[in-house]
Amino acid sequence: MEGYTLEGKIALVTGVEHPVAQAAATTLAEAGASVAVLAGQAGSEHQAESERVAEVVRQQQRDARSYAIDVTQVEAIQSVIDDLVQHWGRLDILINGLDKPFAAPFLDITESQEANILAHTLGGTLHMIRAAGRQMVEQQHGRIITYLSVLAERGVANCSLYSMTQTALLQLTRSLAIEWGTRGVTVNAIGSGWMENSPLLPSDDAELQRLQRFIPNHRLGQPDDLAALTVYLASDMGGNITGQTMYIEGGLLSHP
Amino acid sequence: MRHTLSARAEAECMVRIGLFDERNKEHGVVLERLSLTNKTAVVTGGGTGLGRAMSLALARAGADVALAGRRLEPLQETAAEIEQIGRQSLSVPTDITVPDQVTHLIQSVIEQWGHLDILINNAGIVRGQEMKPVWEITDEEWHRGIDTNLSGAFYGVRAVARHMAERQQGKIINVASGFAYRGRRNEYMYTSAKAAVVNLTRSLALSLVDYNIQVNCIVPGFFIVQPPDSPVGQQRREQQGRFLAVGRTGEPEEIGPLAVFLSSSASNHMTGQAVISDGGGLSAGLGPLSVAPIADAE
Repeated sequence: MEGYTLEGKIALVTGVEHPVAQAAATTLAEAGASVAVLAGQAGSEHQAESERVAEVVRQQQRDARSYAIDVTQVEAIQSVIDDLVQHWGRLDILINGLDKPFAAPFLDITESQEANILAHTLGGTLHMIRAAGRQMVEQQHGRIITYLSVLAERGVANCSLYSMTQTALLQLTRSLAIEWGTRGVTVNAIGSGWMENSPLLPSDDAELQRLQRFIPNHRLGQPDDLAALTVYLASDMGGNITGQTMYIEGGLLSHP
Repeated sequence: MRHTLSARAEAECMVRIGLFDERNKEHGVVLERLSLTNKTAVVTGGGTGLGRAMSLALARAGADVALAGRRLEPLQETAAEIEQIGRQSLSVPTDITVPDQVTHLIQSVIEQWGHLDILINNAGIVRGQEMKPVWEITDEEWHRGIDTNLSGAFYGVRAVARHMAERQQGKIINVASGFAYRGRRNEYMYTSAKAAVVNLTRSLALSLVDYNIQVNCIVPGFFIVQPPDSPVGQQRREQQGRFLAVGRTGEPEEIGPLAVFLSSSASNHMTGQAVISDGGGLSAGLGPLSVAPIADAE
């Protein structure tokens, strides 16, 4: 499809343990990119999950690499970027899919939970953007796309901490768009609403149905929903869009 | 909302792995959903500028495209380009501020092609008149500005929505402007109307969602529609590009793939949204240079 080609581009997709990041990886490959995928935790089990996605990309006849690192470790992030650039020579696209859905009453959140969420979702994404951004600014070309939640825009009880990380990343997106605008690097975000298989969905069936009735198009988001727009933003034709967060959420944010 | 990461989340992980295997059977098909084969579209203001670029992109994605606008000549020129691509085109001279003409436009396209899948409300005028103090704006100027930039879109949707509802499918794209989100000195009708277009999009999205009609909005910042080699085009690119984060103005062709996405089934979960393509313009705006001096936090 015209404008949706990523032939010759090198992409890194993080948080590949999550379905939306998996869909991003396979769709970037569909558009022609070579794709590295990264799970946000270290360990053989996470490496195996990451490698599974890389294997799918290879089945699509594209180059793939897989990583699984503890993204709270800045050095580990830097070594992934170094390894990737050493192997492929550049990095054109970063899709930030790191995520730890979390909900608890604010007064009950422990310091260790707090540190965990801030270090993983916020710190991990921040440091990933810095390491990848340094390479992109140097090569004067890059596309950074962060996957967010509608919680960046609205309040929900028990989601204080999680919401805060989402809005923080939205604002990071805006500022970096300005900072790197003339360096050929665009920075955007795509937010999703209630997604299939999210741990934040009500476990009670009646409650879940009530939620689905509330969503204007009455369905939960699916991983592929964000994929085509991701390719457009990552492509050469997406270069005039920067600093933006757009939502694919079944109409939730238009709701009164 | 009482869950924390738990045994349940662990279980979900296992489900997800299974689902991914399931999806893998059909991986590599997301971009095929961008195809507009067998779709028909109406693009108002389709003869020139962004409208022309969107029309050509839709045609290349497989759609037949009807063009509406006040002057016939640019419509016919773009129609000829669409036919060169191998798609059908209609040129329907239309003043979108006149409800009957808009209804006629929609009806004649449905009559000709049997169905209408996509409506792009793109027509508008950036500046209907010179900018002047509010007390000098006449009733006629106010209504003309609002009608061209807001009412025309409403008339189009009103004329096509029942048809789309009966077919249980439709895509409506409104075109607003960065000035929907910012005021402008001595500019009243354009900024008001475009802001209204964004919120019209939201209400239409909610109202038509049960008919499987998605309504979204494209928000262009500064785009230069004159050719790059023309003196006016060059001058505007330089002047306006300087004020944008990306250091350049947009080119109409860049909007094409976005219009295709919002017209296709790939965007079926997206409705009521405004997608802003403005070179970073709306993310900035707190200072003439949008840069702060370096200040150490220590």
